[in-house]
Amino acid sequence: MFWPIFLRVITSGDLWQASLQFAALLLLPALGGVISERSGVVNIAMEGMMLIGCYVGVVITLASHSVLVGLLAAIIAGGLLALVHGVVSIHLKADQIISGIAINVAALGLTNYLNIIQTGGQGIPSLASNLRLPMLSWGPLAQIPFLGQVLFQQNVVFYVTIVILIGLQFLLFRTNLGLRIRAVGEHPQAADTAGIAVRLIRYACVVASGLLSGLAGAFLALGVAGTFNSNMTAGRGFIALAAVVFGKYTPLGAAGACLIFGLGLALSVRLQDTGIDSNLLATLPYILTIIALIGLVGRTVAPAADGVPYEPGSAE
Amino acid sequence: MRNGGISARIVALFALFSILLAACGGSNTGSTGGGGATTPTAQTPISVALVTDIGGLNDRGFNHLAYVGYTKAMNEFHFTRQVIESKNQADYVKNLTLAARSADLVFAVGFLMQNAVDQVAHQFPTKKFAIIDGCAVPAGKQDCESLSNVAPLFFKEQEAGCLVGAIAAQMEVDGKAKIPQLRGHNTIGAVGGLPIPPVTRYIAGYKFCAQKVDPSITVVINYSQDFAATDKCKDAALSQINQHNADIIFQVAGGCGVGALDAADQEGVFGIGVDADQNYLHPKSVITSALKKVDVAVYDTISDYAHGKFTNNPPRFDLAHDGVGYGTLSSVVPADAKNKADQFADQIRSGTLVVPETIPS
Repeated sequence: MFWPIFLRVITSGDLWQASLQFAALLLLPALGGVISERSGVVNIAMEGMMLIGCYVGVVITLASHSVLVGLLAAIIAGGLLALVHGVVSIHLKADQIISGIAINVAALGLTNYLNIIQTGGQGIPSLASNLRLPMLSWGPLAQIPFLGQVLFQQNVVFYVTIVILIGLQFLLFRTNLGLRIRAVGEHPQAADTAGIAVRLIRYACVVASGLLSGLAGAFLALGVAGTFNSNMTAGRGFIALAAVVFGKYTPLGAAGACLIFGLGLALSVRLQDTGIDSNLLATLPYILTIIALIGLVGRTVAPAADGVPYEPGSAE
Repeated sequence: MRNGGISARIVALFALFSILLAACGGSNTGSTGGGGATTPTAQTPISVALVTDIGGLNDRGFNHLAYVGYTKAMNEFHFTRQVIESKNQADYVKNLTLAARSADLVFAVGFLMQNAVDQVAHQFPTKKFAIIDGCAVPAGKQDCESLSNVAPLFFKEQEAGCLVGAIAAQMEVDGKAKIPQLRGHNTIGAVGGLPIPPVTRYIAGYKFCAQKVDPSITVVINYSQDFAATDKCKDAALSQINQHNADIIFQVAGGCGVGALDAADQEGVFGIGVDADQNYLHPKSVITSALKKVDVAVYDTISDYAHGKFTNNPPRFDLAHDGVGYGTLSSVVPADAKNKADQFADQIRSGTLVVPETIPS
């Protein structure tokens, strides 16, 4: 009984379409994590930045009757929250983990509180379809059996994510600016000596991580769910954080990790048809990850100066 | 250099606390509600606290309804608002302890707080507790412990599930001819959060009564393993609709399940809400909701307590006690489906129909 259902599930386009969407939702904050950590700032606040993106995106979309304005507001809100993290960890040289925890807790409390005040506890209604980030269907390409559904019937943000993924991989490892970012994360003293503006680059990278997390929030709330729910990110930012480390601090590596998580999530619902206990199946994303960690990923080394505030002139 | 680092840390800590305070401020607003120029009552003042589950106050279902009942009682019995929202499961004991220190009657909203209630009720034997969907269960045990100061508030969700299951199955019997949006595969679905008793009781009634209407109906059941991540329930519902041709989806997953209703609406089929009346989310496609009147249970318990009638053995909140039911019907629901539900409701009230608590195979 198990194998026929298993075969039907893994050969259906539906599974892979859902896996890619789950993966893209994780990948955006993970890419934010990669760029922030590469520049030497630990950012565990993607969860909070994403949640703020969800809330601001929905509220501004409803207020402006324009999903584009809502999208932009979500991205900016994520970026502003990241700027707070930047000031605390780069300028004030405070503990970056504490700052991240504070942002996560504050984002959860704040969105919850504002949502209660705003709707009297009843919750925000679902967005009309013209106020959502649309699914794209690529004409004849979408009609290709299997591949059409998997690759050419996705939300518009999915394709944006792919572009950002490739762009970021190129930026970090093929450009001068990427070299500078990595230098700042590995050895800020040397970078400073070479005339690189360490703090400026760190600020830019932290804010970029917030912009990406805000975009992820808009994707979740305006693209997929079509509404805001309290704590709707449900720990995704932390899984993205794991994907950063698991992907060896590279965009493509993180994408691979997110794909495994995404496949695990989509499989864990669909394999319930086989009669396997749903509680056991819920562990699937994590079991797949452990297997991949043992089999594929070797030692992961964080950037040398990751999490260490830069003090100009300090000798190390 | 070192001193500079420490002072910066202190600054950051202050920043952190001010942010936290701003975020927590919400919990105490309205604490003056009920005071002031209201008419004095003869009752002795009471003190009641509400500790929510991690879904939060505005989950549009369960916790929200508890708060509605609490607010109604607050306006009537004039007590100070004391609401604590749990952010994760590790907070339960801490939050209940905090509530029990200041209030005489503490509500724990949710099955997942059973162990915590047992622990805190032992620590505060003079305080009263009421737990929705559960009872006091000692850590590591399975069964309820009967404590004189804990009132377990159970619902017969299976009876509400039965009524919406009857409506769904009767619509399938009526078929495409009468309701063109249906896909004609005689298949309905249910998306649960976690397979915990309050969830499975709903689904048990749903499936049992759907099969009672039409023994050949197919009922697909999935669990999202989450009560908050809206997209996970949407995905589960989409897979039921597109892979199994289910055309009526019953959500039993709180805020997560709002995504299941959204999936049904998007695919042009039907959804059924849970706990609260969720017809307002999609007035056309949400055909009805399985109601669980947590507000009635909370209000009644506070009212009994205020009149000195607290009992650790309250009746089950069922159809006969108006504790469960079905909500607003959408215009697509034909009269015979409504009649079916009402007919089953009468049989349940009279005791001729007993709905099981476990999901039939």
